Amino acid sequence: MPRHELRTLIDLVEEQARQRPEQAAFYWEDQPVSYDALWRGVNRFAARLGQLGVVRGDRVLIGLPNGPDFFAAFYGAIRAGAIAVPAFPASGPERLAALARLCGATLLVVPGATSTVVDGVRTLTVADSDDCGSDGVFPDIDPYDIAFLQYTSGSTGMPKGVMLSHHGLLTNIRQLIAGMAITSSDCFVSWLPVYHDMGLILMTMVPFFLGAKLVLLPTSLANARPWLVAITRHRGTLTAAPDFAYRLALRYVRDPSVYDLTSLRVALNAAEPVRPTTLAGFEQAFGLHNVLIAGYGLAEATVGVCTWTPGVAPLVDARGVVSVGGAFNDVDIQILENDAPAAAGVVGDIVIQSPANTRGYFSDAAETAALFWRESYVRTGDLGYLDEDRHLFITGRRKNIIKHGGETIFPQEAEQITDSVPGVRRSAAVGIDAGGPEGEQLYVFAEVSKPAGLDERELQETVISVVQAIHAQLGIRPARVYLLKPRGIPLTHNGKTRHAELRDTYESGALRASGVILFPGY
Amino acid sequence: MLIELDDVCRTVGLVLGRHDPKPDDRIQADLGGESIDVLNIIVTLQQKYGISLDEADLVNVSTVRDLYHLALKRSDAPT
Repeated sequence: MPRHELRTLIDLVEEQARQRPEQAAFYWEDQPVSYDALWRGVNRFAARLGQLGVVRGDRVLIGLPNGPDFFAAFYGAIRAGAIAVPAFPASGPERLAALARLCGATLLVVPGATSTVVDGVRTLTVADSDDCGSDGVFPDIDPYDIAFLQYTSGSTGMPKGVMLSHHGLLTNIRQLIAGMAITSSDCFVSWLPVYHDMGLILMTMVPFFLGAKLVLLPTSLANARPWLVAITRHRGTLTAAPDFAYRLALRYVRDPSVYDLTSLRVALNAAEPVRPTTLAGFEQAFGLHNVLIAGYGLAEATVGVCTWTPGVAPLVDARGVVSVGGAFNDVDIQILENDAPAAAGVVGDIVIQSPANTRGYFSDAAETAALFWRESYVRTGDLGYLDEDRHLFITGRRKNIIKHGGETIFPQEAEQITDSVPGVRRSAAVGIDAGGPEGEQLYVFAEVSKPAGLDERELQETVISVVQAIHAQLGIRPARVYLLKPRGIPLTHNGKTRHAELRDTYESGALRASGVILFPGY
Repeated sequence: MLIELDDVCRTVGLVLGRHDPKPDDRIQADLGGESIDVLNIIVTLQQKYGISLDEADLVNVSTVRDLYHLALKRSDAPT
């Protein structure tokens, strides 16, 4: 089957297993995993799901980290006719239970038999399918069926499940390939999480689609060494990461000459604001030339919307904003001012029309209705402008979204959780960039109900409870939790939190000077 | 500010949401810290003690005690 005739993700894996069974689909821990082995694993897992009564359209929650099991479970669920729902594997039981409720999943795939137990959800492992045959018969899949749900943070505190169809995924895979001139000769090196869109679609589906080499690494946010070693050793040509990962690599590496990254053709910098200093610093340190390119995308357009052109010098505007390039094939980018298209150079709301756009959020008509502009454009929630040549520049965000290590968090999510901790009367969550390699991080400011009589130990216990609650539900920890006196959080006249003012007064030291911070003293 | 081992333990505990980590607990393997948490611990110690830590030193840091020794070394270093 020629590549242009592939209609579903299952076609994609099956076809590679037929055409090049012995070729490595990917390398994991330096061991090749062949397309044949991948395909057999997919079919065994699908058979196991069939035994468990999974039928077409059922949702299967997958809480697995990077590794071969993820692919068996992900494609196996889809093969069985189900909708795969990847989840952050470090999510606590509460977060997994919440996701299971939202998408109506009754099965959760976990790494080991002793893993998480979630009420009302049956857990299984990929090893549970070892005894199953790999020659089962499975439902036909339509290209417009939902392949998987990508959960993203919701502004109301409830995650939203972006519905991604086979057709949309294959469309975006082709857009990404054309946009970055990717070929089967490229060698992908990735540590990005496979349970999230950029790591899953760009860094695994694209190489599968082309039969290109893929070196997959464990997820590592802060240790750049295995990443750089893998690029050096495998002569990697294509990698991707958020800006902070490149900054971190620069900080970590004392002697860049130990690594040879000159094989790189594309190092995509996306999922976070791109700093011009990162592009210049990384390229200079490793002797690269126009390899680090800025990109932009969102789950609602499957993943990729545009990237800068590899090999061309980056475009940086007078305020230091790096252009994320021009739209991919068949994508239209518009900037709205007062809900109508704006002229070139005017900053406004970015909306995207693409054949890879989602149809909406799973089982959430209200959020879906709010997503679209003129029926076919998705609202990104980001602010930016197009120059005369229709190059896109991202200048900010409509909402107070916090970008914490490449994860998007809405303040309301963290605040709802914090407010439920005993002793907390009100809280505010903001993104603070302390200037270090970690980039913007989640900071939580919590007013305590009764500050009088609280000793140091009790203040500590409250902070620990807040950190634990956020970690259990969001899977990440705030960089800092401050306890404030009552009415320490600045509010508008009608009682809304002034997030920007809180951030500004914290950063300037004015919040500390005003004496409202009870704990800690740094 | 004087750097004391039990104070470093408490500070690590506040970032990780852990009651009373022990000096020989490994930050990632025993206390469940992610690599981003390690960076946030570093930022916290820098602010708390007014010291400057080089991320490159982190490669050799595994336990809370390792962090304490690193912080001590940096506080003695001429600035």
